[in-house]
Amino acid sequence: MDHFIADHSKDCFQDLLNILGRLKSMGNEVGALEPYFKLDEGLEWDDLVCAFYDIPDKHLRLYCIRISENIVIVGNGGPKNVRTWQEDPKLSREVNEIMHYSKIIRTKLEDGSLRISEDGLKFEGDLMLTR
Amino acid sequence: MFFMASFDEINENYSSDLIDDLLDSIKPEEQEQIDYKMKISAKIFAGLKAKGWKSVDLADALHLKSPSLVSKWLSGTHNFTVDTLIDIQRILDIKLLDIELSNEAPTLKVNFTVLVEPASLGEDIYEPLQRVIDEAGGIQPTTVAIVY
Repeated sequence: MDHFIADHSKDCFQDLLNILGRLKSMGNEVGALEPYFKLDEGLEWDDLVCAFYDIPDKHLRLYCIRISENIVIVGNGGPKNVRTWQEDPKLSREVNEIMHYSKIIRTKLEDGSLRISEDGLKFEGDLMLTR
Repeated sequence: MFFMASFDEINENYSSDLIDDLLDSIKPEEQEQIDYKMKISAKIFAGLKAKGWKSVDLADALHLKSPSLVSKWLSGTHNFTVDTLIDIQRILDIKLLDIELSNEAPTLKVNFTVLVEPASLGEDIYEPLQRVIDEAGGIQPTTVAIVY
């Protein structure tokens, strides 16, 4: 998220404010409801990789892993001016990276080394990400 | 290659000056607008689920050409027109607009009838009241309205 902000704070400042405002709203008010995201952005049907719904006509994409209504892992992204992210090297890199982390997280959730806390609000356990 | 330490060790109080600075740049009234849009979307989404509908069902019910417009409505980014909100709340049987003019409790008016005996009233009003009664041709039921 910090990289995303640093990369786009000059050219997309207002968009960033809106995205952060919506993230704050999800955290404090409404939760990470499904329709706030463009689902199925990853290549695997169950990878939970999605994009935060971009402001109409702005196209600043922020890719995420939506674990549940209470847990979203926010990645990186960028302006999407192509039909599919595969056509943009920067977006391809970001989506592939977040798909990679999604794989690790889902594997760890399955084998129990990573757990969702009882209140559903955070991860518990050891999380080691290898790039 | 990089390693992250245990989540339990680092996860509790992660903060970022960059994010905090940007959040501070959002005026309260702007955040309020964002919150309202997100909540309206959440309410429409809940209305859809209550009916067992998907976006396409609402699009059909409103004779929209494409369900993608409904997706936009549900995204939390859409600036709705009043007309659209009226249409949606009618179709989904939910309330998105509150147009009550007053927040006061509605007035309850109760009418009931009692017989007033002039002799039981104070001396001051006995004579004038008796005169009215006489002119009216005798004692009549009197309607008293009490407004709570």
